[in-house]
Amino acid sequence: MLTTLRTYVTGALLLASSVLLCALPASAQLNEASTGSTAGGLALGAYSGMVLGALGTMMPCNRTLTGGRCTASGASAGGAIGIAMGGLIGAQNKDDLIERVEDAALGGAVGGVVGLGLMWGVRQYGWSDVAASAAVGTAIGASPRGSMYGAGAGLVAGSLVWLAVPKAGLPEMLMITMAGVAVGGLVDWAQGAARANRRDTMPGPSFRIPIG
Amino acid sequence: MTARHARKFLALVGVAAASACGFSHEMERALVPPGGQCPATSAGRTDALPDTTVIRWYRAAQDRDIRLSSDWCSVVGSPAVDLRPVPDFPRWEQENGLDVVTWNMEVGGGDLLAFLDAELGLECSGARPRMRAGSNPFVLLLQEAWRRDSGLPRIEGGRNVPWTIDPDAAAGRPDVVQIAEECGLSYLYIPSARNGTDRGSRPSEDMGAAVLASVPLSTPVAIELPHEAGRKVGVAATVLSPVGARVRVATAHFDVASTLIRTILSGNQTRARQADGFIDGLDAAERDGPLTGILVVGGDFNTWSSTETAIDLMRDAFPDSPPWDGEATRGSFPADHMFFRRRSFVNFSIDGYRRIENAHGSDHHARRLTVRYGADPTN
Repeated sequence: MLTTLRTYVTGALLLASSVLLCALPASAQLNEASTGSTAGGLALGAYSGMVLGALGTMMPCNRTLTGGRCTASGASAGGAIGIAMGGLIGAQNKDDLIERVEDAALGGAVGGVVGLGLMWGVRQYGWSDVAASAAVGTAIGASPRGSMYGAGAGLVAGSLVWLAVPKAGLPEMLMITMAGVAVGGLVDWAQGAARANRRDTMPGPSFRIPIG
Repeated sequence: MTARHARKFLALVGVAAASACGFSHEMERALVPPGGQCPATSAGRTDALPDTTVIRWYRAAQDRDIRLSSDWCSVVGSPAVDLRPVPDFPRWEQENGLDVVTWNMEVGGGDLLAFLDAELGLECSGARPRMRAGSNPFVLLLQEAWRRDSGLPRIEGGRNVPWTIDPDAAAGRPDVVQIAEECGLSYLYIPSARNGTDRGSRPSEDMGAAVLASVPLSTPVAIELPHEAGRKVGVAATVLSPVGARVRVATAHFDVASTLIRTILSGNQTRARQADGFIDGLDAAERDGPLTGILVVGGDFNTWSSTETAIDLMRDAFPDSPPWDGEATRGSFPADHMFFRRRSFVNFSIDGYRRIENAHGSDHHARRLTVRYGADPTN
């Protein structure tokens, strides 16, 4: 269970990251950026990182005696990484951030559709679960390339573990795949921050739909 | 800018903290009104001697737990209880042991009569039920036990009714109460949910956990677990050992998964929360008396891994539990487990912990162990 202490730690990390990012010199901004894009980067990065951190640690933490606190720590760490990297992106490259926001929106829509399917198939699911599915889709969508590569790598690694380790099974495969999504997504944020002051786009697939 | 963003982030943190408050597993003793079947009001601690013949209720105390569990409970029937078996079954003596078996019988999928015959030596087909020579007295802990009840309210839908489990196999088979009575067993059946809606020609059914025994039972206890995806009620009862020490037997069925939003917000602690609630409920029952230091728990914990948090919590609370034997009980999943604690009662021990290979039609294999009373091993 998410404890108050962990929440305070998360808040402290978020605040510390905010202060660091707001101290960035204006000369670092090679591409167009603004206060709004910085704030947007901080918020989207924090949100995406926190959800990815929770997703990646959920299953391994559920094998420890302190499962809830362990997952909360994972969410905190993911949130801290996300806020730092999102802030760096927002402070230096508005276009990259806009692209991530669009991808996040698309991810949210896909998640919402998945949630509707789940609500139709599982009697105890309601609209809050549709919203939760959309929220996860939004977090993954905000770091699309890394999450996709991570999911692929995790799926391959998990399948190999399933085949090669006698005691491993479907749970282990799922656990490694979800960890892959989380690690890939967080690496995506870090890579985005590293490339934020360049004008070239990042390699790999994008969820973007050309509109207009 | 810093101060404004700081306020926004603190607001987000506040939302997260508020969400986190919904995952307490606090339990309370509850009272069922006369003529009712659901716990309705909180009951404080009492110093009065406990009545060991009526069902004592404990429930998860959060408003959400109470609201949802009450909603689910409103459509099931009353508990069924008969604490005395027929008198000609073997007693638990020092020379034999008490077999304790746990089985998720998948409603009508599992053939309970065949199970009793093959695994516990109880023949119910003759004029009088009898146990084959050499059979130990037993306690059978059942999950997904079911009962037909034409008096149940008609329900055609709603989120307080789960899908029907095993929609066809139960046809023509006797339900758990019929079997317990036909076989002369003592029993305690606590329904936790309806088995599907009243569509089609299938009779109305509820389902839940049950304790069936060839020995007398006392101190029936129902523990309404923290509500995740559905209402689950743990059941406990007490048997007397050869030397008069009380041995509590208890069973629970945890959720396989919670709702998506709760899974994410709790960090997938669905079963851990139910384990905490179940352990606290059992501890509260023990505090309210009569003292029962020895406790055997068996159930379907729906765990994906033998090292899941819920299992770790149970092992922590039941330190004398047998180690997992590496055998899955539902497909490839180690869902079913048994736990044991004896505190200072070192004359009691367990042996023979194993999976029962024949699933008797259920989607779960059963597990069994034998509780024995012997000489103090420290002497």
